[in-house]
Parts: sequence; structure tokens; C-alpha cells
Amino acid sequence: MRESRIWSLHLSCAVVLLILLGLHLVIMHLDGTLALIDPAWGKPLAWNSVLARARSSFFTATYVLMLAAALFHGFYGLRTMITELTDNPFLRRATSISVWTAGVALFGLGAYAIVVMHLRAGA
Amino acid sequence: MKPERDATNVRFAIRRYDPERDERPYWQEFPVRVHPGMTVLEGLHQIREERDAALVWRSSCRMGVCGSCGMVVNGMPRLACSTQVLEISRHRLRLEPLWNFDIVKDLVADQGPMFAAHAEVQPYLVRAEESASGADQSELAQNPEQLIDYLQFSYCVKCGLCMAACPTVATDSGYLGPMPLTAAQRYNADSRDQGAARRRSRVEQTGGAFHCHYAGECSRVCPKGVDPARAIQLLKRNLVFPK
Amino acid sequence: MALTHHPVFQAVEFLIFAAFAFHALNGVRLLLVELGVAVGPPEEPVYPYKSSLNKQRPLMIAMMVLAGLFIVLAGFDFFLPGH
Repeated sequence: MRESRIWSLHLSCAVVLLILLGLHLVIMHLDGTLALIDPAWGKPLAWNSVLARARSSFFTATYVLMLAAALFHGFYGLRTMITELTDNPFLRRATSISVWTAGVALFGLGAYAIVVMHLRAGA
Repeated sequence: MKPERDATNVRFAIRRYDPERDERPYWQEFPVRVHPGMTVLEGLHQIREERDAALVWRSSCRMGVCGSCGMVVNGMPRLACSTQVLEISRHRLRLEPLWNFDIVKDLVADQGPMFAAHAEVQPYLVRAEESASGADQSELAQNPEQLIDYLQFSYCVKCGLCMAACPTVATDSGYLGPMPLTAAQRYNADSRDQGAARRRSRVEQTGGAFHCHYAGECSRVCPKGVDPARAIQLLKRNLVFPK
Repeated sequence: MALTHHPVFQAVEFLIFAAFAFHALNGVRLLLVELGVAVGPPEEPVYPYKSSLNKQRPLMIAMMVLAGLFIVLAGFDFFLPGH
């Protein structure tokens, strides 16, 4: 793939993460602040909340999207750092292959977990 | 000549290296009589005339045009001819050859790799349709708005200060560097040029424009106001959204 | 889930949030800069030179102030008793 395509994808993933990871962090970690706005806001780690998210098709789809974006964005960044620190063509090639392999494997594992959780939650 | 009573004594600490004699570079200090307005380059000439005839550096025009006398002055890449000693220090100057290059001797850096990278981006007007005789006889008109698109980047004198300041050049020897990438944008942005597609293969691959992370040091040290950091970001935009 | 209420766990969670806020807002700046939006158009250089660094500085300051605000806000949420 052309480097400018990969880089554009890297930036697109950044925008996706800005929204999805931002939402994730606010929902999961700023629950105290959200409760100030809406007193009925529940505990995100309570069993019923976790179950409700697992049942929701919206959350399941965004989990998969966020996982893909985070893995691509993170591993591309890691690959850039390593490529810039070594001139060795073998190490550079090995880095590219390793990050692609690790990224695809972790995506498979994560996507499997998300889908199984969605199905078992009784959607 | 300025009267001697105006002179300030400034010590010039110079990074010396002779590849035939020395295992590694070392520092050597020389006292220099500095009068107001005197440049680092004039100080070097004084040392060569009075202290050490073997001291080596590159310089030519002594007016900031030829781009030969780039060196690191007190931790910042500068042109020796357009840097006044007393503006930097009244006590001690530390002169080193440009960073990120091999040393030829003393203050002379080997800029060969930079010029090789420069050649790789085809830094000249490329025309798509060449007439059968090889000579394009038509006039290529350009209006002032089209001129301003590349004029800033055409002021580059290839002194290499940006290359010495760039942290990515420091870690990645495969990186083209700010000077060649700016040259690529200078021609890509020229309305007479049609070579952007030919330059693309080199400037977008590993070691190309996307290895610039906008540290901005190149634009800080550029003695001509060329702003290589701006050129490279515009280059990236045109790679992602071709015109 | 006793583990998630351990002070060390919460402190590390806060660091992750702070890292995200900084990285995300700096990333917004870099997105605008590296796509050539926030660096300004080419201009005739007139001494003393102003570069694209000056052009993007207000954006950088705004983003860092925003990041600081988010981090302080999150600090209250993470460490005030009752959360």
C-alpha cells in the first residue's frame, strides 16, 4: 500500500478514536461528572450496565470499530518510531511484518470476544 | 580597521578534527579580538591569519547568499557570515561542524548525502509533453498569485542548517530531510511544473514527507525565511489530496 | 471489583485519561498542521522572519489549555471522595 494511503488511514483512525475513545473514557471514567448533569446516570461497571452495553448492537459495532482504529493507529505509530530508529532494511521489514501480524491477531481475538459477548448477552 | 580599544576579547572554542591524525574530534580555544559588528566568519579569518593557518572551514560570499559557511554556533546551526559574535556572547563561542553530517575536517561537514537526496526529488521544472526536437519553445506565463505559491521556498540556499537542526534526520539516515523535501514542494507548487507525479514515488515512500513530525526546528534555524516545515506540510496535503 | 477501586489502579487510570487528553488534543493540532491547514499559505519572507511555527502557535496554546482543563476536571472526578 502507498505510504500516503497508510498515513491517511492513520489520520482517519485518529478522528474515529477522538470520538469513540473520548466517549469511552467519559462514559467509563467520568461517571461522577455525568451524574452531576443527569442524577439518574448509573454506575458504568454495574452488572446491569455492562449487560445493557453488551446487548446493544450500537455498542457492539462501535467496539469493533474502535478496536480496529486503535490497533491500526497504535501499531502504525510504533512502526514509525522503530523505522526511524534503525536503518537496517531487515529490521524494518521485520517490524512491518510483526506489527501487521500482531495487529491482525489482536483484532481477531478482540472481535471474537466482542461478538461472543454480544451473542451470550442475549441480543 | 576599527580602533583596537573597541575590541572585546572573546574565546572561540572550535571543534577540531583531522581524519589523518585524530581518532576523534577535540576542542581547541583561541582568543579573538572582536569589535562591534564583527561576524563569526571574520573571527575565523583572524584565527587563521594570526594563530593557526591550518584551521579549515567553508565560506565564500560572506553575505548570506552562497550557503557555504553553515556551522553550529553555541548550540544553534547558523551561517558564520551573518552571525555577529557579540550578539551571541561577549565571552565564549563554541563552533562545531554542522550536526547530522560526517566531518571532512575541522568545521567542514560532508554535505554529499544531502545533495544526493536533493537530486532524488528532481529539483527542476519537469514538463509532461516535450516537443519532438526536445526544446519547448512556448512561453510559460505566470501571474503573481502563482509566483507566491512557491517563491518563499525558492529562496533556499542549500546551506543545510535545517538538516543539522532536524531531529528526524538525526535518528533516521534514510530520511530525505527538510531541504530536499522543500525543494520538492518548491517545484510541485510551480504552475509551470508537471512533475509532481514523478516526484511522488520518492517523497511519499519510507523516509519521505510522512517522516516529518513537525518538530519545526528547520524553520527556526533557516537563515533565509524559507520555512521548510510549512513546505513539507503543504507537500503532505498535496500527497493526500492531489490537485 | 475491588481491584478497580484500589488507589494505585485509580491513579494509573487517571494517568491514562491524562495521556489521552494530551495526545488527542495535540493530535487535533497535528491533524490541522500536517494537512497544511494551520501552517498558513506561502508568503514572501521579510526579515525578521515569521514562520509557520508562529502561525500555528495560538492553536497549540488553545489545545494545551483545553487539555489542562480536561485533565483537572478528570482529576476531581477520579480523586474526590464518593466516586
